[in-house]
Amino acid sequence: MEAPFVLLVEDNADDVMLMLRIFARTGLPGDDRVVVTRDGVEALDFLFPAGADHGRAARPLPRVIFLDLKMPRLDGLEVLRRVRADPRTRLVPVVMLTSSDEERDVTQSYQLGANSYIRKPEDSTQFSETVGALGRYWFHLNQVVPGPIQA
Amino acid sequence: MSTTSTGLALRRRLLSLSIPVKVNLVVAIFVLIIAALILIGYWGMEVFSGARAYVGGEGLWSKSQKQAVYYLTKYAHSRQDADYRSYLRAIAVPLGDKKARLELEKPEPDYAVVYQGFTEGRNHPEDLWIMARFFRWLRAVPYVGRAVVIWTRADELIAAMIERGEELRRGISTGQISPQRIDAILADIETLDERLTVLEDDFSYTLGAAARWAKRFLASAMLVAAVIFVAVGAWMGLMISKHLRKELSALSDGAVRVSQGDLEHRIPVVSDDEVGNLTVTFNQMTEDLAASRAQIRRLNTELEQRVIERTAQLEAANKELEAFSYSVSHDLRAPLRGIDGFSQALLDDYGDKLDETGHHYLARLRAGSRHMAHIIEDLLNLSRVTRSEVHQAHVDLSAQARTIAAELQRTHPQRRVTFTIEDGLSTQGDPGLLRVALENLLGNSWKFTSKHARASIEFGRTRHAGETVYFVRDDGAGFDMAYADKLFRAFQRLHSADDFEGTGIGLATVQRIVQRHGGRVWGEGAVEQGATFYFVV
Repeated sequence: MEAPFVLLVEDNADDVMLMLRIFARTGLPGDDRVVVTRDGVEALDFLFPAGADHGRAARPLPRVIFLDLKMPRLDGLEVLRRVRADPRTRLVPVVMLTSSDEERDVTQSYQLGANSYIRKPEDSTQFSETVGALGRYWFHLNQVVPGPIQA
Repeated sequence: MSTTSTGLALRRRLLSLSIPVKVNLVVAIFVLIIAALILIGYWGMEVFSGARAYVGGEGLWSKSQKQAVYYLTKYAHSRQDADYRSYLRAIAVPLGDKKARLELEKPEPDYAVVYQGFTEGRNHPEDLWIMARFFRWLRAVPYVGRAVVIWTRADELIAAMIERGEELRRGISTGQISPQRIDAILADIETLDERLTVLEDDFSYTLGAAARWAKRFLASAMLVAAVIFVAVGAWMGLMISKHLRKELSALSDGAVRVSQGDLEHRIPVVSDDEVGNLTVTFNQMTEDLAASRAQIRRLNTELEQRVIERTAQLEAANKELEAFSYSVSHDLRAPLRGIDGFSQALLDDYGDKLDETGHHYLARLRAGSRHMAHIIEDLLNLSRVTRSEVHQAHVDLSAQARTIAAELQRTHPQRRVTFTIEDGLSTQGDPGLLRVALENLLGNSWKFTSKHARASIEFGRTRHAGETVYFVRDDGAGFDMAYADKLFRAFQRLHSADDFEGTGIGLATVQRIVQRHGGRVWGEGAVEQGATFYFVV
């Protein structure tokens, strides 16, 4: 059994670097345990590799997906829709992690089945606290679906 | 066929006359009837009067003739001149009448001779011209013609008698006449007298027949004239009234239809009279009405079209604004997070390698990025306030103000500020937006009293020019009234950022919210004397 990991879908390299630093400093979950994809297309390619046998996940699923909203090529809401539409990833926890606090974005995300919606604070202290708490909660406190998810 | 078309043309011309003329025409027809009857009656009276005069004349004529016979016979026996003179006087009467008759038979009679003749015939002076006229007018009537023939024959007999009279006179005055001859002459005269008697009777009968014929003729003529004129008058009257009724009912039906909204309806115009003119005018009015209706509809459509276009433009502008805010919210925040995050990382990881100035620079960097984050926050709020719908609900302003005051005091527990909030202030409006407005106003008061050791902030209600006005009053830094109009402009600040931090967007947001409720907001204040902000929603 492979070690559990986080899928971070984020196009902003600064945010990726800062988040990885916060994870490392708080010991959660390690650098090697975070898979980073730079946009929605990459994320879906990772989750559903081309040519993979349909009906079962091609690789182990992440414990949680941290998903940015506004990204090039394919935005977060579309990724969320595809993840929720596919039986293999239907139950994977998805946390929207974004700069936007537009009502529309929040509402749509929850309607599409997001588990949580977090606005990234600009203030670095608050940002550290937020990301640290997220890691702790989703990586340690939250109970995952036992065993492989059945289609 | 041609009679029918002539009749129709006549009818058309008649119906096209104006109503007063139509009425006058009917009246004229009846006046004509009366005139015709009067004329016929008068003419009849003339005829009867003439016949009477001739019958009278005939009587005088006959009497004179008999007297002439009598005096001539008497003269034959008495041989007195007086008797002969009497005879001559008597015989002058038929001779006078004869003179008149002969003159009247001429194409252009001399009426002086005629009157003289009739006067000699001992006719009444007033009958003279009646008799002359009767003769001239009715000479062609068979009865009258026969009477004249009888009269002529009688005059011939009178001439024969005069011949005998003259022979007798010659014989007696010379004494050369035998008694046998006298007897023969008298016998001749008697025969002539008998024949004259027959003619006289015949003349009377003929005139009587003429009078009876005239009576029948006149009665028929009167009847026929009366029937024709009454029929024509009644026909015209009926036709006109029927036509008028039809026209008026068409007009009133049409008016009803038009008044019920059928602007396509046109009333048929069937005459040129006043009703016809009224109909034409009414149709014209209907047409104008329809035209102006159509124009109004067209204008309305254009207006609606324009409204649709403007709305679309507005919506497009709104969409753009929304897209702009959205992109601001996403794209401006990310770099700020980077700046602050890496400043923090620098401080954390390399803090020990920096001297005090380096630390200070980093602190300034972080403060700058935080301020920038606030500005973005406020701008987004302002944009949201502008875009979002205003939901009407009952809003407890007092409760909202108390909540905000409690929050402010919780964030800065060390400050000594007295809040005075009037109870029971409530209004209709959008709870979320009004809360933002109150937050800004109370937050401003909180901020601009921060330099004072003790401060008081008041939220209440007052009357201003007959309106209910809410106000937020403080005893803080205040402002110079000279700049009062600049207060509500975005990014306008009356205090330096070093004295009071802020973005200069709060009051602009308040104004936007109040305006979206259809109200207004204004401020009063003086430097270091506090400020009061009033608003009406």
